[in-house]
Amino acid sequence: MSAATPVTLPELAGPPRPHFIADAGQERLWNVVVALSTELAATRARLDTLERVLAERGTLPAGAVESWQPSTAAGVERTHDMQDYTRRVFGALTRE
Amino acid sequence: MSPAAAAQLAPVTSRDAPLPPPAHAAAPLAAVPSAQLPIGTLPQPWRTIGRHAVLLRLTPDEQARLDALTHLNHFLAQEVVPAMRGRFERDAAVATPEDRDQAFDLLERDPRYGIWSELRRNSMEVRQQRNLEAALRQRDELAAACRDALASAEAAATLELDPTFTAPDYLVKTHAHLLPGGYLTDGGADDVAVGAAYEASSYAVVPGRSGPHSDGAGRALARWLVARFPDFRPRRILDLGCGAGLNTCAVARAFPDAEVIAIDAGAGLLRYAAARAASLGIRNVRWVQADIEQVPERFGGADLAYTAIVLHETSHRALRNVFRSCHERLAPGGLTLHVEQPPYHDRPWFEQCMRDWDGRYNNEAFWSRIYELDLGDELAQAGFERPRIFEDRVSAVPWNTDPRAPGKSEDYGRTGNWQVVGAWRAPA
Ligand SMILES: C[S@@+](CC[C@H](N)C(=O)[O-])C[C@H]1O[C@@H](n2cnc3c(N)ncnc32)[C@H](O)[C@@H]1O
Repeated sequence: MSAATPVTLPELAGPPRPHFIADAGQERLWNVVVALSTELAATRARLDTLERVLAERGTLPAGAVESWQPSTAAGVERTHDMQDYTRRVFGALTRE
Repeated sequence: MSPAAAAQLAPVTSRDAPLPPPAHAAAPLAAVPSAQLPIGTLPQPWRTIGRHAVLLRLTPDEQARLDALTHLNHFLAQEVVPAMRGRFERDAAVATPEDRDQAFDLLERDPRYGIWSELRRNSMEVRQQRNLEAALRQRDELAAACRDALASAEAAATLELDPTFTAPDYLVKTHAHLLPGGYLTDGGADDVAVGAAYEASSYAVVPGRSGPHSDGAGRALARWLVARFPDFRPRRILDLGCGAGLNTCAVARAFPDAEVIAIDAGAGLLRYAAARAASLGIRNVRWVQADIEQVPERFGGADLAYTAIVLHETSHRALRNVFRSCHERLAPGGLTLHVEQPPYHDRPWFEQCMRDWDGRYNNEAFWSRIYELDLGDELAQAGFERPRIFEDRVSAVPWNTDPRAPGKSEDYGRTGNWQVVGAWRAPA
């Protein structure tokens, strides 16, 4: 996992965005749900990969996950990753 | 192919019956190596996309997010649509809608419809934005891959860009299917980001059912042509609005002795198409930046001039110009073909609403109107003679799926079941 370089997208031209849900807050909530579901899917895929890789190569020693401490570099990477993650999931809240 | 044989084709008149599979639907499939999974109509994961030199590269996490969106869309089409249809039909039996707006009003009474629409819209936005973000991030790597693919003089000569070209207004004012920047994003030099994003989204939106190279319409069109007109041997083919060349390549493969001239407005798309085709070993296509409303005279004398899923993104005036341009650029006895989703103005109300949704909410500028037009009339007005005008159905060459046994519900507007309208130009 590593933070993605930020990019600026062009504006989308066309008619104004339609609103299918009368309540604007609810609309955002649904957008959050969509984004969240994609994040959870990525997590599930990673966990599945890990489990399979570990099973193929021999198991983790007991307690290894609980006792593991991230290095400073890994901590920084995780922080950036979480910042990106939060933007992806809750980005709908910033939309006009 | 004699025009008399063409005239024998019965026009499709009744649209009430479910669309029948065309006679040629049982022909054997082309053998193209594929990593696609044997999962029937379930969404193919991104990693099964056909490889080539300028393909967008997605990390496992990016792939998993994209795959999650395809599963969401599959669920919306297969599970939510039939549920909404059940309620709509019960309501419609009482309220009897008289026009499409009334049918939409009725549909809106179902609280699931608003959520369904929001999710369909939002998943398209998110898919387009994320693929374009990934492509813009990889801009330099993709440009380098494009340079490599077009390094030989022979490959470089397949690309003809026109720096003085001005795109038609409708491509600037409406970015089709919510791709920010539309088809015209162009960073100059070897930039192919827009093409990479476009192919990625094309694969994910159907998802994968158009084959690893997203060329289901091109393969279907080629197969239909060969089945219908076995003696037709086009030497010069015009593909108008070729986009990233996804379907062009299938047509070029099917007619290896023909010279295909593939025309589009987008420089970034054309560069991508040229690099991609070179990397796939396709050599008989020239990728040309020009206006399909006024195909340059030097491409005259064509045997076949077609559009594949292009016209619904243009305008009525553009459509007329394109048809006229086809007539002008065809050799006597040449054939013009135009492939689009089938018209729906006399389908049941629920299906009309589902099919019209893209026109209303997915930035498809001309969608709702083109399906009201009689394209045969339009061809006649462009100079083609009535008895030489015909229409037919073209079904996708299924990849792992059988179009006669789709899922519970059709993903209206996104399924490989098209209408083709065509005409032979009078012989000399
Ligand atoms: C849906 S896309 C391409 C579909 C493509 N034929 C395929 O099968 O993959 C429509 C394309 O038509 C092009 N286009 C629309 N109007 C045009 C015009 N007047 N001149 C040139 N290209 C045009 C757009 O740039 C876009 O790439």
